[in-house]
Amino acid sequence: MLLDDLYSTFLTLKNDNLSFIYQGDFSDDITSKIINLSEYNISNISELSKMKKKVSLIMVECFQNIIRHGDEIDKKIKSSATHSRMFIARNIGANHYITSANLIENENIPKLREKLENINKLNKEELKALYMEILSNEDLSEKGGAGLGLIEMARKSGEKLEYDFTTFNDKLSYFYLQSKILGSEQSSEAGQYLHIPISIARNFHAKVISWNVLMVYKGDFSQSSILPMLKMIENNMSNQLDELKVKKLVYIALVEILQNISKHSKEVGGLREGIFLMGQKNKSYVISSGNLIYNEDVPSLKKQLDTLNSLDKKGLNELYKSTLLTGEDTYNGGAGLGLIDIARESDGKLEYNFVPFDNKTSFFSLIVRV
Amino acid sequence: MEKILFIEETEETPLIKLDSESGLMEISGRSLPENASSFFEPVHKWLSDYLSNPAINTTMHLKLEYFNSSSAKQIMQIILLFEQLHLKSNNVKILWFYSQTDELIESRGRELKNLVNIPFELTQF
Repeated sequence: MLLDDLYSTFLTLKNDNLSFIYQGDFSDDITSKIINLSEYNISNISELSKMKKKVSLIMVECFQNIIRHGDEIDKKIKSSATHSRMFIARNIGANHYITSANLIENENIPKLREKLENINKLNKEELKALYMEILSNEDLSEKGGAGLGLIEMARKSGEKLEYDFTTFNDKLSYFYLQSKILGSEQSSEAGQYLHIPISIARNFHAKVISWNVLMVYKGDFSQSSILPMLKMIENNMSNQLDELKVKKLVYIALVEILQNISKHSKEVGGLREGIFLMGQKNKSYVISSGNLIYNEDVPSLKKQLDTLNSLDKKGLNELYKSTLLTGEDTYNGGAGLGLIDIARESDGKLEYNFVPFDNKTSFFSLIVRV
Repeated sequence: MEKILFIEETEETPLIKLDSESGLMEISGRSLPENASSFFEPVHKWLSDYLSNPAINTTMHLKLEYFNSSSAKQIMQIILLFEQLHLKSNNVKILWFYSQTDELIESRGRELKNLVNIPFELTQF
């Protein structure tokens, strides 16, 4: 992943109030954290709060689908090439889009396609009838629910389900499924409805795979949004990393970078917005952030970063200590202690750039490798 | 001044327990607040009062799992307050706890120890 990728992702997601893309370890615990994260963001936008429950329920169904079908495939293709499961939640204007990607066996595609086509033909009452019928049918144990999850998603969404299949190999394909939840007419202004085709999710999937990205987040970076994210990443790492030191370093860099966005990014509509990407390749992690800052703040930040990059580990340690001793917590003023800490714990130099965004602001990207 | 200052631990802030009678102090857990100076403000206030009327022995237990840079400054300030007490020939000791496998917290403790002139012990748990 490069600095330019950060900016291009930001531009793609520019109109999103919240975007969350997750590729990695899927467990029920992570499901609940993602729901916390998105619930917090939804409740920030008051007119959307009534959609909270709907959105959460669809997310749960989506996650359980990914977990259930993914685990099954895992068992079958143990030795085969690595594959990925992905989850996307986006909130644009008053609308929500929830997408999943997981592998399925090619031989199961026709049956699944038929189920989806059938669901999309039915209206609200017919869906309810089908749901009740399947519920009362006792021998449906095969895979835990003959499309009950899909029907539930269609009912909650009130819109057609979108889906797509992309060949992975001669036995398997990626199955993409997207539900949308449209905001009430009162709250959505004319022209606000923007259709997001499922192909965009497919493109994101290809990108996060090629960048080795585990998580993309765009939205508010206040502490209550950061905490569920930290928890999620922490769980994910503890499942994969044995070495406590790396875990701790990653965690510390994460906290500093996320809080840096919150402190320094330009405030838009009461929110401190930015984008955050985290990647992993083997045992090294890439933590990156991007946010808009005022042009007049660019020179001093650039100078600070250049100074840090000119120092070796010893010099950085000395600078850390002297900054620590100067006392005064310059909250909001850019104490620099956070950046020094990131620099001395990172592997190599800090990578950064500034791209002019509009008359007043520039997009500041930062990549840290641990 | 309250005899005991007690602040319960949360996901992002540490447990704080300061006892003016016994002189036993503890800060433990995670310290990740965005604005650490406002979180630690009551601690500084309490400690400043304590300095004018300290117990015979003062021991500060620091048992931190994680702390952000904003908290590092606050912890440094607290240690410097204890250093003042030590320079007034009071019996003061800082105990920095780290788990056996936690190199990072160990090295952070060592770093702080070297910055101050005060009995400062690194203790494995």
